[in-house]
Amino acid sequence: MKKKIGFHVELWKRVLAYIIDVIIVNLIIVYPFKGFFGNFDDVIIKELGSEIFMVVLIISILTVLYWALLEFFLKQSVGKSLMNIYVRSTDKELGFWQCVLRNLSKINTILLIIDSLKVLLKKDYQRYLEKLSRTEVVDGK
Amino acid sequence: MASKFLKMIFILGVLFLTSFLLSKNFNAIDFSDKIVFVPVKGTIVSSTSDGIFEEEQATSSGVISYLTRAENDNTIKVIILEINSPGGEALASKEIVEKVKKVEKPVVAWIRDTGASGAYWIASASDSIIADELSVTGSIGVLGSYLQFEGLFEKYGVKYERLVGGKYKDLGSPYKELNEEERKKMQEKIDMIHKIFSDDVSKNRKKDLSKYSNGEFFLGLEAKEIGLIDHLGGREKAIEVGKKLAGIEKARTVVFKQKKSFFSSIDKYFTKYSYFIGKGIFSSVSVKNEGFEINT
Repeated sequence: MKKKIGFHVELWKRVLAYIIDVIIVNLIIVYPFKGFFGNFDDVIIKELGSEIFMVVLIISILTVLYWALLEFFLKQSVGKSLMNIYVRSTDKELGFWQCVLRNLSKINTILLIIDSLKVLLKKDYQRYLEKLSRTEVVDGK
Repeated sequence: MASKFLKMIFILGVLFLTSFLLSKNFNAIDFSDKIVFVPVKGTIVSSTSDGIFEEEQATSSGVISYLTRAENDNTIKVIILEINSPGGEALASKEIVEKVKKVEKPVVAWIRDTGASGAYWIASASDSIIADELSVTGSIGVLGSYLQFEGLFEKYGVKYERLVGGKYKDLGSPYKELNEEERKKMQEKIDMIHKIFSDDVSKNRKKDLSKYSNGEFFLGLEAKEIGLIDHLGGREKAIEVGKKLAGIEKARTVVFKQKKSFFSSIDKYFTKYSYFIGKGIFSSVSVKNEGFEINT
């Protein structure tokens, strides 16, 4: 079978790559905060509103950075690397802020689903943020 | 390929290290001293009926489990009972009282709008009682009441067929009027409960409060004067007294989270929703038999 280099990727590959990445993000970014969140099984800290916000903010920033840094430097996250797919810019050389923008919705699953509606329903190959950041995911080199 | 792999490991390592170092700062918070608020809100009961018509209830098992969790958590230094209850079942109140007495950490009772009867009994077992000058407290008395339908039944030709083994077996039955002997018997039992309640409150407060144990309720202002409470104030005062009792200067205030499963929430929502639909369709009135209840 002819290998589809530079072709747009099947959805299952992207989903699988995302699942792998989420597992890694949980291990390297969320897991260190386990002690902080673990306590909330028993108590809600009334006066910890700002700390909770800070922790969520830090995790969100690091999560976006995980994809942004890997995609900017390597054009691939770990999941994408295993699925042999990569990110490229649709017009010029892939920039860091393009990588940040295209991954902003990954801080929250619901945001990501909304962002992916175009891919899921209209069978498009780009998420809304991918369109906005002028990037796309294509099959391996 | 190797260089790409190394770059990947480097980026992951940097992210992990950043996350790890930042998390250290936030984890430190959890080991600080805490003051926990344990709610005693609504009618005090031994078990909740979980019905959709029910008002707010404080189950003895629920309050006791919160107290146990607070006891077992070494970071919790003070327990504040946030009381807003008119009292309830005598036994349920007593169960909580016994638990409060056993807790080895400072327990402060903060009476909000109402801390009367059984709720006051619980407060009396704490190390200090705080209430607002307008709070309703006291009401050290026992109420034994039930609806008696004999006259109504007679009017509609319904007869109560009495078949008992033991002449007091149907004592307090709503279907017949009490005779003098039964009334006396019932009063004796209510008096016994009242004595246990009243004596225990005096013992807990370390002063003779028998002359205030006539069921009268007192506003916070009066309660302070006669020694039913220790301080006038609100949340801040309760925290201040708690810190003083525990000998701590700084503490975070926390509340226990009620664990509710997703399905139980959904179930409750649909039950309520179905009730309101049903209410529109089914408009007949049903009379619930009220059994005899002894409430403090």
